[in-house]
Amino acid sequence: MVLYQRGLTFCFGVLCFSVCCLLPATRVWPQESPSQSLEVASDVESANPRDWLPDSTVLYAQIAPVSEWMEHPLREWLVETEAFKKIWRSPEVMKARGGITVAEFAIGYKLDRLLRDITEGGVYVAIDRETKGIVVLTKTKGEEWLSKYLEKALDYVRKDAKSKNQPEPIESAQYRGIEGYKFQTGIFAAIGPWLMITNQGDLAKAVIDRTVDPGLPTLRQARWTAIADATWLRDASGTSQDRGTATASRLVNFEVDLATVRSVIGQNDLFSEQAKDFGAELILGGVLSVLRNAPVVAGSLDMDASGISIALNAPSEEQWFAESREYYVGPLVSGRAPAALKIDSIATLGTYRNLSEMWLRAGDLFNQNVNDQLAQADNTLTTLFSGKDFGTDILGAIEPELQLIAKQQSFPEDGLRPTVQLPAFAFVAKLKKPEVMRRELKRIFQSFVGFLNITGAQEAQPQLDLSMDRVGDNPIYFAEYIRDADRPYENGLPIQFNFSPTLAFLGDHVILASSVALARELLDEPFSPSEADVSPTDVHTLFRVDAQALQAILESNENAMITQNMLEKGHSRAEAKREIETLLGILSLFRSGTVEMSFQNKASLSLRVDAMIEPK
Amino acid sequence: MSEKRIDDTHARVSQKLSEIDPEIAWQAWQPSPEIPWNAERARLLFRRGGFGASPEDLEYALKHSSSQVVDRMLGAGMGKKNEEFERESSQIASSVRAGGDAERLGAWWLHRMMHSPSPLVEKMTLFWHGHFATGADKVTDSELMYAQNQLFRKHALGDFRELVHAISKDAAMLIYLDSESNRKAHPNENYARELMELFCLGEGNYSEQDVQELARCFTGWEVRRKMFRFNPYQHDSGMKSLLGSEDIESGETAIDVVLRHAEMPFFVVDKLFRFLVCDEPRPSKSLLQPLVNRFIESGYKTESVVRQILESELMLSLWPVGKKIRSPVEFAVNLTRGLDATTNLDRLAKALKPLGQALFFPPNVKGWDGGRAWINSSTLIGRSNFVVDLLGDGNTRFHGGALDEWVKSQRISSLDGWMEWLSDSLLAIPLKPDEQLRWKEQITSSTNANHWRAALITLSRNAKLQLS
Repeated sequence: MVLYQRGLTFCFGVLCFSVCCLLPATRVWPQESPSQSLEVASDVESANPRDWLPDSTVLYAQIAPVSEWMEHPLREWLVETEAFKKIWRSPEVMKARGGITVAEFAIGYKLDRLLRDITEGGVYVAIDRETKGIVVLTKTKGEEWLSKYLEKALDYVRKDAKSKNQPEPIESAQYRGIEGYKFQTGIFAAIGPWLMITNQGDLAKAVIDRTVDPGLPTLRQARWTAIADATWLRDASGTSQDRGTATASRLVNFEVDLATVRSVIGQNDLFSEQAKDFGAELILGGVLSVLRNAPVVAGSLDMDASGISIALNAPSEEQWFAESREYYVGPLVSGRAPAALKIDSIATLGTYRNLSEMWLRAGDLFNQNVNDQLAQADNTLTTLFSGKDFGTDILGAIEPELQLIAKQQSFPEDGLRPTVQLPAFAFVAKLKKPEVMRRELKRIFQSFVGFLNITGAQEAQPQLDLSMDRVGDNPIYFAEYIRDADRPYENGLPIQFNFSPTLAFLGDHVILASSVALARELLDEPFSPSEADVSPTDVHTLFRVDAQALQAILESNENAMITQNMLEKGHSRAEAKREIETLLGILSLFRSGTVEMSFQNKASLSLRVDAMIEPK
Repeated sequence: MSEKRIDDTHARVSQKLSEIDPEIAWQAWQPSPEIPWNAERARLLFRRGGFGASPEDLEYALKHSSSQVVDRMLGAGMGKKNEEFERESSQIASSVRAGGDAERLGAWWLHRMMHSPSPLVEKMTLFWHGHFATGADKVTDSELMYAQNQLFRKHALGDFRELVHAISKDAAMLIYLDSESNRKAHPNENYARELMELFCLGEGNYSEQDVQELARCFTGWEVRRKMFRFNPYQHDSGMKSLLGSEDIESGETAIDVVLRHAEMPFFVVDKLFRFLVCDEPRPSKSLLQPLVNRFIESGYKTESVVRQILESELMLSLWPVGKKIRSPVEFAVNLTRGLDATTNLDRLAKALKPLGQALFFPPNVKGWDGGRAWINSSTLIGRSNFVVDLLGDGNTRFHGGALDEWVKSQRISSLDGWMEWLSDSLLAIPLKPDEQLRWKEQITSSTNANHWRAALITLSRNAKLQLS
């Protein structure tokens, strides 16, 4: 337990110190000011850092005291996990622990205790646009305590330098009655019980100025923070309430001035109106619209007894989505994910995307290069789909509520298996005109299998055997690879044997699957068109991953992953095995993950990653 | 045994190949107090018979004789280690083959070159890959390329005649030379021509008539379902005459006729000489005669010739030092092995392409020209960039750690020490004092503050690093 505490405090200490090393600093107080020795306001004890930070602050984060992180119920569980123990015993961590012990002995204070006391009243981090500086403000145990231990720490650093015959390592100077210290690239100062650490003297001065002069413009007065402070934005994630637990605690809150970020970054690819990457637009198109317009994004990190949630929230307005992005959010931002299928799987994705609209609006959405490639693809796909126009007839035949499912495949225990085992995938969507499209899709599927056989034969690849069956009243068309009877397959089956392309219909829904077994399972699912029509929430996209199922498929490919690691990293087998086992060990810490995206009431956008740690 | 020796002290600069007595050249080298077995000879042996010496190899070599080193390069006494390595390599191959990408086979083979306990077998596999050149760009099937590579490995040091018979029925070769569908009505002459011109006899030792007749013998040799198949209905069963022999019917008999040709052993031994000893000049027939005799006496066993060359007075007199230009594969693997480095092998395999030697992708049926053709202004810059990329790759480690740590572990603390170590370990010919001085100036004036790295990068531009 103690070891864990040290690890966590060390990491936190490193984090704090590295913050002030990001940018080089020159002197303690640049352009030494006349000692305007005004008194620091007497109410620093109860001050809010928002009143001390300049209005040019771009990012502001509140972090819970170290004690809250360390006393969290997850800690005990985490330190007992094998993965943690392995990392804790690694040579790198052992070396760092040795250094910490020496420093603890010299200061006469346990590092974890020290950090608890330093951060007793919370930690506040800010990045300032004007000074290009970063500042960390921590509210310590008290003014007297801070003064004592700051002196001790400085003394330790001086003695250490002296023992190594190095020059005086600390510079000090006064500004408006506050003593500042510079060590390497960091500047430190005590303001009442507050410890300020920064990498820019100008930023330190700006903070001190505001502790003295309340008339100066502050972060609290900045326009964007007023929006970020809005309850609807800050509480949009509602993570702890959703999980119905009383133990959840918010460990981090942060806000970013997006308008300033945009002005600093300028017109780069992220904020360009025309995307240059088809995949990125398909996945993030609507999110980018928000990022291009929203003045602020607010976020939070919550942790309860069983998991961690990260929420990002931004305001969102209907007019921010150009007409061309209607494919992403739907008319009047009404797009919703379909009801999730209840099936054991590695991952499921339900989302709204009008693919036909996206395809046909490509001219507005993408740059010339992507459009050229799409035009080429359109021709090929139209030929492949028997002369049907791909954008209008094929993509236009399905409703925009889409589902994707990935599931581990089972192969016979004693029979031949593919050397690399891939999960099975399925795509489920509702047909607009099922009575017409069922026949069309069946024909296209048959042509497609024929096409695969011809191209496969040219490259000496195995051939597909086309079959048809019924599950209840539902037809299922599938093709399976044929094994060479006279080939021993001593190294396992080729990768193609992971696939048995399948087309199936369930009511007015179409299922396209990479494996016939998954399609059959989906046909057994008790989902009906009427159920799928109704979206139970305001969720636009819902992605769920089952970490245990993911771990199982990775384990079944462990050997392939090890050899891959050997080639990619030049590792020996033992090293590669160790690395893969560590990865699987880390994965075993998680039960599931969820990403949710919504454009709730046309007013906000939220993303949530909710990783549920498996309780032991 | 002759008492005469090749003059060790002057051999490298003074003696012309044409002046060397064949009897002396191929006699077994013996150490003497004046001409001892030392690190320089061991490094040469590892460069020519393998892919350079790792620090561990060198340590072994200095405790054993040159003959024992050759045994070890063939994997002798490495039973368990060999077994473990083969198991590991087979697992890597399975994983690579599952993806079906022939380019990735290069990474698998580089792993073998770097870690095989039998580097001489890998070196000779590379020799046969260049000799019976077959490109994955045309074959397109990684399985067939893998099978061919294994075939070369199996016969790498065995009976040359068996190898020729086997490669003549190799599916990848038949596809590459358009013999996959060799019909009686339209005999395809490609394989017949190359068998005589490039694989067994050389130009001038056959006629166009021989090509046509040999092509008839190969009719009906097809590839079906990725395997050789003899189709009797497409075979021209009439009698053919080839290279002066009459009444030849089958392809197998025709291959035997080609292999019995008096020029065959000279052709093969000449190519082995150029692969192992020097790019230029071409050896005379009289110089090759003792090797040819050995080749024939051994039943055309490649190992007998290779062993005689590697353990010979000519080789270990150090005469061949600097007389070969390192191929890109040798350059890359020598460097990584010499520095005890491991890295991303996929990336390494891809990096060989701009240097002119992508494994499994020879430029044409003649294979790589080698020699001076390896070096031009573009590939020289490419070699330097290769070293920069190797050092910059986050996956590159030196004995499992950072370069700085590894240098320290070699008890090197100064730049001079490091330069000396690099010079001894990586260069075939030592730098002259003025070259040494220039190199140091390049390092100290380099923008790269890390002198260990800067030394390697600047050395990679030196012409002497390209020599073997």
